[in-house]
Amino acid sequence: MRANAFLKGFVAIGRITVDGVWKIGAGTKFILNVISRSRMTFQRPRLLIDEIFFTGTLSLIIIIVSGLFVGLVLGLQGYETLKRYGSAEAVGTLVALSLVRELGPVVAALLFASRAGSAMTAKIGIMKSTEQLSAMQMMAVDPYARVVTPMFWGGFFSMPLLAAIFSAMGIIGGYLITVVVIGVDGGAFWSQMQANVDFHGDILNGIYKSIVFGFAVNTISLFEGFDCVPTAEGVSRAVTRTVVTSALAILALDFVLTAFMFTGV
Amino acid sequence: MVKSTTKAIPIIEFSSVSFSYGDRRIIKDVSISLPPKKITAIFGGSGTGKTTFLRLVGGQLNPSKGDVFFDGKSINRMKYSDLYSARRRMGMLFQFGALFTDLSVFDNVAFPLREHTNLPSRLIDDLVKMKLHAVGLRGAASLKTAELSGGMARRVALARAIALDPELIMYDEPFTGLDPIATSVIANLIQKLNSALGITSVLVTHDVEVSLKIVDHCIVMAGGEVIGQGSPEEIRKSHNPQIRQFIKGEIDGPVPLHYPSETYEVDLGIKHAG
Ligand SMILES: Nc1ncnc2c1ncn2[C@@H]1O[C@H](COP(=O)(O)OP(=O)(O)OP(=O)(O)O)[C@@H](O)[C@H]1O
Ligand SMILES: [Mg+2]
Repeated sequence: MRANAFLKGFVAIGRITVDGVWKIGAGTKFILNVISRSRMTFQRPRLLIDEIFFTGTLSLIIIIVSGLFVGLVLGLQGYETLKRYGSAEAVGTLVALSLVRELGPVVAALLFASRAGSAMTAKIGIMKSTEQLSAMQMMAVDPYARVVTPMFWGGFFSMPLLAAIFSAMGIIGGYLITVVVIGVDGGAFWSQMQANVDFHGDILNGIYKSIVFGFAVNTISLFEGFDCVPTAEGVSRAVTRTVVTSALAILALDFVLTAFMFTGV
Repeated sequence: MVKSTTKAIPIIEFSSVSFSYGDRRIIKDVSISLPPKKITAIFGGSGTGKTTFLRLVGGQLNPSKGDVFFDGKSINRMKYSDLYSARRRMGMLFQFGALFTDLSVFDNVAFPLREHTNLPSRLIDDLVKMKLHAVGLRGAASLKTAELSGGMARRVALARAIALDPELIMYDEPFTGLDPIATSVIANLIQKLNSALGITSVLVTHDVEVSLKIVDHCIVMAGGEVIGQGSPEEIRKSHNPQIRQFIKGEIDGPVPLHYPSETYEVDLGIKHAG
């Protein structure tokens, strides 16, 4: 019956809304909990270094390779377009600005979410479902302080570094394709870039973006891991949710941040 | 008048404790006390709430009614920091080991020592080897947890549980999945820890035969309630049909095997629920 279907739709919307609000509340509480237990992380740098290795170093390969390819494509496309207006040397500026303002933070964060974020969710989820977190509690070791918080800070410090490496690799890629392969003047490539990329307006804003994205991805990944249904299936679902939610969060936050940062509002 | 028997304060006391998962009541108004420095076994069929019982003692679950006392203080009303200091005095062997999968056997046993002490690594080394030796796995120190069999994992978990020399150890099904030799090794170890170090032990199990040989006190649970307690001889000689059924392992008897449900006929659609 139509009225019945209508009612069901209504109930579904209600449930999604309530679940969503619940998740935002629980996630906020969770992350405050995590951050409030930061002392051990900074007293024992070993924990932090291990997590920076786990999230950062292990994501390096994918970040470097993707950065290089994105730079190659940007260089090619930029050159083809700019050539028509007789300003092919500006390709350096185009590549650099696109990367430090947008693609560096955004694509690096997307890759970070699928490489490191999913790994964090899986690790926490497995520790939960095999009672490792319970065992830790029974050994009077706080699993937040010992496991979750170091992961949070590890990811927090890795993210801007990865974004910077991504942008640097992209610029190298752009240089390779336009200057080395196509034969654009190298001096002009660099000097135009230097003249037009602003440290505050462009580079710092890009770094702020990646810090915000890192915060969001870490929060989502760790919360999904902690909140998962403690079974194999529950963990795999949580990993999927981490990747999807992180991607949406990154893109939405990017829009908001861009609107504030680059439109001179 | 001098009292001949000084009654020791129980190390664990349940005072009319109830616990439910949602609407399902798992523990129903249980009041018991466990004597210190003794081995107590809690018997009960699968799903009667034995693991739940241990989690209540460890403060990982809170009773919906009543109090769980550890050494005279209510676990479920403690401040967070007090709960953690109480837990430092407990060791727990999890039913499935719950070893840290990203650490080696050695590091698993060393974990509580490294977290809670500032001992030099030489000393930690020796302590870990001693604990592993006690469970017969000194040679397995460098293995990864993935390389262990289920029984070995349980023994490593036991070594980890006793790493900090707790005052109370809770064993969740210590004998399941062990061969007869390993079973005797663990049973002996439980006894030795108890007699040599005066550790109070709680043994949660459905392995009646082995346990009756080593324990001082038994509590039999069914359907979330305590249906009897006493010394092993008293349990063996009990006339309570429920206890007899459990000890003898008979299928037919007053203790239901099945998880609560509609009658079989109704479930199969032969009859309709009345
Ligand atoms: N997280 C949970 N959510 C809901 N119900 C649960 C949960 N954990 C356990 N239960 C239920 O509580 C009851 C008691 O569980 P418990 O694990 O304490 O049993 P047990 O006596 O240890 O059984 P076994 O001998 O099989 O280990 C079971 O019937 C189970 O269905
Ligand atoms: Mg159990």
